Amino acid sequence: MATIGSLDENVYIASEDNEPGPLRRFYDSYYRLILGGSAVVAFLVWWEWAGTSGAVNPLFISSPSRIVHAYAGLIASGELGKDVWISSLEFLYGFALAIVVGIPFGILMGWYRPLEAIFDPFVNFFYSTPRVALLPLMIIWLGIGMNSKIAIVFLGAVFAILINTIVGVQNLDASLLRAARSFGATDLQIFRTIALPGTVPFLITGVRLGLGHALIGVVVGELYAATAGVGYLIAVAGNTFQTDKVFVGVTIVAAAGMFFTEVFKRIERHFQTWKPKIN
Amino acid sequence: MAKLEIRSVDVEYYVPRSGQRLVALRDVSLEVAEGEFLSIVGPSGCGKTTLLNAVDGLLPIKRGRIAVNGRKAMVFQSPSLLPWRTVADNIVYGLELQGKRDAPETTAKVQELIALVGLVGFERSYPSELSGGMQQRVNLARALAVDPELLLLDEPFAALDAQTRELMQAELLQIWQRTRKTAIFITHQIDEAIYLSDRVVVFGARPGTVRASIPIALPRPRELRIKRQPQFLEYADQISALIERS
Repeated sequence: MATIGSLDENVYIASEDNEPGPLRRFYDSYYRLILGGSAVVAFLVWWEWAGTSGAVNPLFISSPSRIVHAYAGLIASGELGKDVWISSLEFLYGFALAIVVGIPFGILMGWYRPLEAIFDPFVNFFYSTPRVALLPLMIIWLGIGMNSKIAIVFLGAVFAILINTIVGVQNLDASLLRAARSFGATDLQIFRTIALPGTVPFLITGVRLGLGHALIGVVVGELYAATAGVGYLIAVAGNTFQTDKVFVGVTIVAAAGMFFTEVFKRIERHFQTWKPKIN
Repeated sequence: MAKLEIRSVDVEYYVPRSGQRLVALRDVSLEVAEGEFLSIVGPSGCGKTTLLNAVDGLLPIKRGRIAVNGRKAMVFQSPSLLPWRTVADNIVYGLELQGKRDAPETTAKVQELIALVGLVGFERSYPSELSGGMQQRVNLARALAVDPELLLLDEPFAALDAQTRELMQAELLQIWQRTRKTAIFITHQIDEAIYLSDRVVVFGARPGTVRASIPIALPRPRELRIKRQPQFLEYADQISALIERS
């Protein structure tokens, strides 16, 4: 009778004390928040120390407490409110216009190939050019007020939205279109039940990408030539060596960017619930 | 009156790359009687699917005449389900396109179909959460929902594994037994065609044309083990000989 070799190395025994403790479980659930938050706090403490101890000239790097102080001053004088209001308007008008123009045009260009062929060279030209290079032209055409900034925001955002929408429509599943036709769907029904929901994920990605371009448009537009706005605040403060105020402007722009990116990430997630989940 | 009459139909494709015309179907004539289950078998590329698309009106015909007497619905080879809709919402899709989503009987009908194709409990699942066989059940239920008098099935089980496929054949037969829809079933599996059909039509390749029409005189209801009976195997031999000759 043949003997069977020892199988001991393949035997696993359940152990009773591998249950993690409450502290460990808390850490496992929130480790991103804990590590990220600690890193930010550590950085702020170091910055405060560097700025106030005289290790680095505060003229260059300011410090968190000075920035908070500058915030308070600017809010009290009403300056900040006005600048944020102007920049927000420029951003919202330009961005809304980009969505209103980009999505319908993108759908049309994706659906009708000849239309795409006609406009493709122009779209390519603009998408390849950093749109802020067109600022001098916008200012010649529209002046140094809000309109030139709205135009730059629009140009910044519209092509990302347009191109992603086109790609979305062109990638619609042909078998779905065939099924719809087989059931006698009209063009309008196909548009509503297949083209639109099928493009939504692409469309939102386009909007999210356009957002970054739009923010750059606002800030650079106002840095270049303006009479008000957060970019204008940064430019004037920078020119007069008011580092604290520069940081006020920068943090506002950063907060706006992070806020909108998060919002669109959530919208994106909402519309992708039907996508296969990757485990 | 025949549910479907196909008379001397030619279908041609224009191939842009070579600038040539490809004759996909030549002089195809076929009649399908009310309540008949007809299968079309033939080598791949023989124009079976082309014929079905032409019957469904998705493809123009060059010559001849196709008369469908009643509503038709297609079950596609790929499930073709809207990935952002649940099972129930996919089943109702055809009805919705025909303006009947809000009809009072629709909800009950969808529920009934879900039970018929064995998907109770999956009403709110998305297609990506279903197996290939389950997706094809939804595909079938969506076609049945519009209450077609002619059911067109385009190799609906081609992408399934052998076991699931047999299971689905048996289930399709049960469903057909209950609904008695006139059906045209495209396949390249001979045993599938014989098992399901009242009549098997053999297509020859390039250009596609009807080679033979063989009535299947096996008693119904049929169970899967009928596939091992001598009479069944005789049919299979006869049909495969016809296909090889073409």
